[in-house]
Amino acid sequence: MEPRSLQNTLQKSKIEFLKKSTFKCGKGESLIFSFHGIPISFHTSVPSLISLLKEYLPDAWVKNKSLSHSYKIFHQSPAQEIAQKFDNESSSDVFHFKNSFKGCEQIFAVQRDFVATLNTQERCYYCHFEPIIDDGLHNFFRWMLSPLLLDLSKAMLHAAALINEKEEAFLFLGPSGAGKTTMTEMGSPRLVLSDDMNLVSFENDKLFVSAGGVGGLYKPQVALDRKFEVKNLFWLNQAKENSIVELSPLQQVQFMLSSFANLPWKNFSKDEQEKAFNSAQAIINCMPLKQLNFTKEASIWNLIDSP
Amino acid sequence: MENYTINELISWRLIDGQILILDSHLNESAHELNEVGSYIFSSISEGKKTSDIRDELIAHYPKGPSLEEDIQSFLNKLKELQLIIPSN
Repeated sequence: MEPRSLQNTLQKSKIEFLKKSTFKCGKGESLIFSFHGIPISFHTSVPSLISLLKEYLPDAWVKNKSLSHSYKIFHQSPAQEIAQKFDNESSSDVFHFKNSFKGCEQIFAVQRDFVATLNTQERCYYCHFEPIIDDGLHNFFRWMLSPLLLDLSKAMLHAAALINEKEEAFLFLGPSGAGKTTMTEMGSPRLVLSDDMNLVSFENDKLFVSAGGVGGLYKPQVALDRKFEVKNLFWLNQAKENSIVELSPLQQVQFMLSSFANLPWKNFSKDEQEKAFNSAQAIINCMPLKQLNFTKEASIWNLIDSP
Repeated sequence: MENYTINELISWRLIDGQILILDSHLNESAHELNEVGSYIFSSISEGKKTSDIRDELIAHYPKGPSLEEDIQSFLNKLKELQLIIPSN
């Protein structure tokens, strides 16, 4: 059943458009790649998107032969009559629901810039977004990858990340409006991974971060396949004075759970919920999350850089 | 008093003496319980009877006029949210 919130006629029309679509892709319109370790076989009706993806993805991620257990993605550009509807949507929320389609239960997702369905049995995604490296593609991959990454001891975080000259990384978490982009702007000349979406991986009690490659105002200034050890993990709080405050273990886990990007909580099974809980705790165990009270002045970086 | 079990659909953790409940499937929400609420919830998870939990709390805390009402009210709230379900 479609969620009650899917009242919007634009969203409904996108879903209907997707259901009516026939996905056909010819030779030379496919690309096999791994995105943050998730194996993907990508097929599109728009050859130019393949060229753009080859430029966008690190060479090491693009493969010559099919990967085992890969997820198939079938992409089409929205037809002209509906394309403008992809821009008219006011909400940036993702609506995610299960619905029966072609005789089996499928997962649907609709957002301002993309619409997609997942056939879980066949591990196939069918999607529409503009055939360029922009919000539609980013939002689709963010929706697709986020739940899968939890199986790889990784998580896509709604966070800004920068590295200093020693290649030590600083992560700033917080909801929209908390100051992630502001911290990024004030962080120059440090290199920006992303001001909005970054991938963390936890291994051997250490936390690493890579540019998410799935959106943000800033384009990654480092390759997507490079990872950096995290030196500090902050929860942003705008305040009248700069300070760093310790958070209780429970607050840390709560804030971390709220920072996981695009997890379809409503449709999560108990197992998936447990994975999210475990991942949040694993991240905190690697690196405590502290609250950074800051005044929106660049001097905050003196405090962050202090030993 | 009615006895309860924890709803199997939810996930929860005891963190630093406090329970954090994730019930995304039911209410798309997270719940943080205080010390007493965490004690009650943990006791239910251990299979304790509600009357035993009440007796333990009364023995531990000076019996205020509303302690029993507070326990019942808390249990009603958890039940309303389907975080606990009645057991026989």
